[in-house]
Amino acid sequence: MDKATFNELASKRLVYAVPDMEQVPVRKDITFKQIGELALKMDVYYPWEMEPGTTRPAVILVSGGDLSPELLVRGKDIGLYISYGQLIAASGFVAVTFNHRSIEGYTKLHEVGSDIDDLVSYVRENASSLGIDAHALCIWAFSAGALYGLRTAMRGTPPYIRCIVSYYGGMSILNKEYFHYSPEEEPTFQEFSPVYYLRTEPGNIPPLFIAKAGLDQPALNKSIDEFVQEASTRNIPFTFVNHPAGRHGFDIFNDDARSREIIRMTVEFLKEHLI
Amino acid sequence: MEEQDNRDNQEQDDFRLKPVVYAIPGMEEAIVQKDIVYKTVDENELKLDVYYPSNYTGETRLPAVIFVHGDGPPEFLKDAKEWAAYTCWGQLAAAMGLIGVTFNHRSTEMLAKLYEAASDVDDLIAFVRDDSKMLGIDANKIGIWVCSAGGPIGLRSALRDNQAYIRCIVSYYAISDLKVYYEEPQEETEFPGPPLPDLSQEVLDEFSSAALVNKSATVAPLLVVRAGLDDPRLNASIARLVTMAVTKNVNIDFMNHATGQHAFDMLDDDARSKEIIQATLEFLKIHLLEI
Repeated sequence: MDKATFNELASKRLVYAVPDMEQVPVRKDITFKQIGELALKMDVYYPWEMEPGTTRPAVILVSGGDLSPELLVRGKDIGLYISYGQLIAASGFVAVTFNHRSIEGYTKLHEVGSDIDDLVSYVRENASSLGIDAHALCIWAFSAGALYGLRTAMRGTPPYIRCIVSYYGGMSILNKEYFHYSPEEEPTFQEFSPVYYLRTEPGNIPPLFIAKAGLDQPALNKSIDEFVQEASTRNIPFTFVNHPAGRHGFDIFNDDARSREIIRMTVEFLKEHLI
Repeated sequence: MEEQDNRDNQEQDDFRLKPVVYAIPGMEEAIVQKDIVYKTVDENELKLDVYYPSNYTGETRLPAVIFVHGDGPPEFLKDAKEWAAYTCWGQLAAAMGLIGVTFNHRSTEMLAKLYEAASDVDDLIAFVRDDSKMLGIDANKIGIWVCSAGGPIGLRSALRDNQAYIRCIVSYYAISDLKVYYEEPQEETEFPGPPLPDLSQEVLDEFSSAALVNKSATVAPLLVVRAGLDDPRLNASIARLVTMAVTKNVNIDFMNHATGQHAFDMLDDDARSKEIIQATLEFLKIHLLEI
């Protein structure tokens, strides 16, 4: 992604809002991981009425986007994640947004995967000082963030992951029509394909909410369709929604009733599974 | 033998007495107009009940949800709208600020009388719209809820001809493609007993929501719900509908109740049943009252 596109994106906020959500308290720029010179940081958004010393379930927002080193340190500071942090906090949960490294055309999957793992570990180890219930987490991933976000959420089905949300997320990079990998790379591509976990670890998968943008790239949408079909066959507890007129990023680009309906449904889903 | 019959009767009676596992406080205060005749066939009157919000004064027209019950032997179905679950659904719709319509339709008698039962659903919808003023219903805002083996006839009426007044469609563990039942072996079928009648491709398509969605230029927003423990063939039919809906990029919500039985809304008193029922009521509210 170039700088101009990033800057345009950075100004966009969610098309759904609740009153006064901009005023929720935020703790900004907590470093959760240091890689040489690079400090990976997170922001934590809190409900207004939260008493000191108490904890709440938390939603961890995993961003997509292949960002340059210059831009990735601003990844969490775009309107999309700021407004989601605020909306989730205004809905009664703690929200965590954070920066992670980029997958650089699927060549750095393990590096990014370790960033997500480390963020979750940091949040759980520091749960009480962060005001987070370490046993009630949701991973909410966007776009390519689903590849590594859902890997962390589904691998070994950790019991503290109570539910999973994926918005216009990549569900598989195994389709050879679109992705090229050698036999040696296949295990890595499996590890970063959420659909793979439906086949290998179908027991104990937490409830999933999958949103698809009807006008998204065919490769991405095919992976979602494959995931939905597999999840049905495996009888996984899940909810699937399609936004027929939705672009990739419908939650900031499609200012329409269907976008707002889907975001509202997602908040209801969080309330159902985190409380 | 007689003992077996008694047991069967008792099970049927119990089923009829089972309420929906989700309730809204005060929902039983809905105002009900009972037993309005919408059609007379061979001296048998087919009737509907209409549920209104408890504060309804009759001054405004409200959108309506029509609940299409499932299929079964004629004797079993004759008072379906009196079953506790349909009373609950009518009350739940009213508690959301909508009008709930429950009604009796005839049996398809193992698909042998598909058109007779389907004409009942068509005639009920026409009656509700023609008499909408008297009933207080907004004729241009109708939602259709179908379940189980009511799918073929209910989804046909809901999806055929892309009627603009059909604003949304809810399908609970409903047969969504009749062809599945003709392609696979007969054992453990939803329709035990006599063999299924020969139906032409055209008839199978007319009564299969998957084919109707494929044919339609526009489809009203759909909420499709699946019970994980249901008959595999019924679930195979739902999979075809969902695949068709995503291929055609329609406005669809799909919810799977992994541990749910057929009729989970009456039989499985658990968190997922409640979540799905609540989401259904929200769905109806959004598409009938807000958009």
